[in-house]
Amino acid sequence: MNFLKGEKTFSLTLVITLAAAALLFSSSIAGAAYISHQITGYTAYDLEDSSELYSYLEYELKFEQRLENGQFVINPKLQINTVEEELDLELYEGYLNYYFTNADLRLGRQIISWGKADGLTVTNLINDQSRVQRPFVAPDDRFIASDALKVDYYTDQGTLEGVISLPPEDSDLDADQPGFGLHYSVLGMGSDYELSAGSFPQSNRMLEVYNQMTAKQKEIYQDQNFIGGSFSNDLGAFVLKGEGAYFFDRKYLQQTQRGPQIVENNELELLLGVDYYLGDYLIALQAKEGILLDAPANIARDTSLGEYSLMAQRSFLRENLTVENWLIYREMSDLPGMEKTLLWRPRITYDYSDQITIAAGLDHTIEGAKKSEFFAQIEYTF
Amino acid sequence: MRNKIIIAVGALVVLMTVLGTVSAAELSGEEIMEKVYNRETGDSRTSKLKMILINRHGAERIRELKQYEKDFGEVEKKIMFFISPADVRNTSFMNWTYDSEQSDDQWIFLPALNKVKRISSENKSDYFMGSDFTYDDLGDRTLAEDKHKLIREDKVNGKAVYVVENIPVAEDDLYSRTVTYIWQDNWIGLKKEFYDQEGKLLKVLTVNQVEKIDGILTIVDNEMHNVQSEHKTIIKTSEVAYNTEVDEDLFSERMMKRGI
Repeated sequence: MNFLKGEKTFSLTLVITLAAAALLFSSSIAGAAYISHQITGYTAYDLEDSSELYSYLEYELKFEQRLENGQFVINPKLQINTVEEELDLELYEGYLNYYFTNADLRLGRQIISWGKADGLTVTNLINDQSRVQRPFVAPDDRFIASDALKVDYYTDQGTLEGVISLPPEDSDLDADQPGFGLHYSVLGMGSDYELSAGSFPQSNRMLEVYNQMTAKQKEIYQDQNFIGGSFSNDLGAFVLKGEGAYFFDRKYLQQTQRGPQIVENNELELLLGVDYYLGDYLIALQAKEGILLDAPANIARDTSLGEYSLMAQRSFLRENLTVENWLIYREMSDLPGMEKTLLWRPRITYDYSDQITIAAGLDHTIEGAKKSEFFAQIEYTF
Repeated sequence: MRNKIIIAVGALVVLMTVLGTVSAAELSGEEIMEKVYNRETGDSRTSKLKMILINRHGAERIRELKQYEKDFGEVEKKIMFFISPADVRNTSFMNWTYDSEQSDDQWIFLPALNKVKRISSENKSDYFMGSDFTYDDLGDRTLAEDKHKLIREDKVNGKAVYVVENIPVAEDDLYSRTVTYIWQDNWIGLKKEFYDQEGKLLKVLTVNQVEKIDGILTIVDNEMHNVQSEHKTIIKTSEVAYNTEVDEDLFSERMMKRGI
């Protein structure tokens, strides 16, 4: 078994540094401290190949120290991958919050969420998403924390947020430029809205395909510049939500007589969704459309590409048993390794006690590249 | 002399009966419930709640949360921070209730998603955090949502009570009717029975302890027993303070994310 993968050693250093800082803070500053531990066993099985895909045992520590004018959080994870026989220590989140009268400052490794959509992404672009193919228990578990400075300034109406983030350490993007952005959010009577603008390194599949076609080793990300916003409205039993963003100079593959090349073009992404609450049921429907604006000829993509999700959730046994059924349909460009996909994603979660939670699920493609993966997970929190 | 005493006692009994009848006759079910709803509860209130959920086998789950409420006139705001168990710590829930016809606004902050999410305001008959209390049971119900009728006077634990039947105006309500036992001395409910849509007894709410805090009578220990599923929830309230300085900024996205 390999002891700690090489590329994670920075995480280890950071964990030790932050743990030492935590001890210093907890010994010298008054305030409540909260510690919880979580042990998770996870296994994923490929039903197509009848083989074990992933299997790991994870220990997670959550340490939270409340300070007089702030908060210190450290959340390291130790993971034993029994299939790959690797031991991996990473800092999932670790940050210091400092509260001023009208502003909050957060410095450290963190996940920052923008937007109102669930699972699908338009403006939630700060943190990179894992491209590991194992099935996740929840769609938002895919986000990877970034080292960032976040400043929230509070006005009478809403919150103005500024973010500067370093390229994500634990991501395989290998980005070398920091991201930055501004965000303004308001919670109000009957409706909420957000406005956002920024530039963050984002994975671009077109660049991966270009590398495959040309055997070049270009970066697989680009700094994505965008301006956008989102809203959510209460309509009784319905919550209507939407997101939209205008992306500047996004990179696409173009077929020319000299072979494939990368061109830049602007794109508008729009998302509309509705959550319908009916007793113990929640039905959520979302539709996202990416529309190319004034696209050049021979660009290797349809002018409009959609992504749609339908989720039906029901809880039983006083919300201790939850059953979720997702259907996700993705239109894709007609390029190698890209296929239209209809994914069926059922999930069942049973909160056996306050300490033990059991989850199981399936990622099964109904249309597209064959894939049928089953996972089971048990969590013990103490 | 003996006859005089008998006459005097008799007269007293008649007088008390008449007075009692007059007192009850003076108040209708609607008026009694109005007094209950309008009972002094302060402009603001902070408290810590301990919810003990007990299933039919006696297994317990404990939830602890801190709650802040403030009446701003046209809008009443409430925010709850979950303290334990560990898997829900830092989850927060915020509710704004308006005096006007405007629907409530409700949001939940889930730390795992790091996102404040608007949720539907039409979930008042949902059970709160797996307990036996619905959002309505926890105080979100208004006087106009039921028709109230005084059905008798009775005693609960030696205390004189009005027994008022409450029939929901909405036909699709979770309950077909409820029966409330109102302590006559101070307009506080001591017991409440909830009947399901088939008219069968579903739940019984019993107030175990009432304390005067900052001059306001406060229920500090009550118990909801679902007699059909044999599930029980006990709510113990502590660290109660009324009319303290509660800043409006507390009821904000900032505080939902920050937690306590």
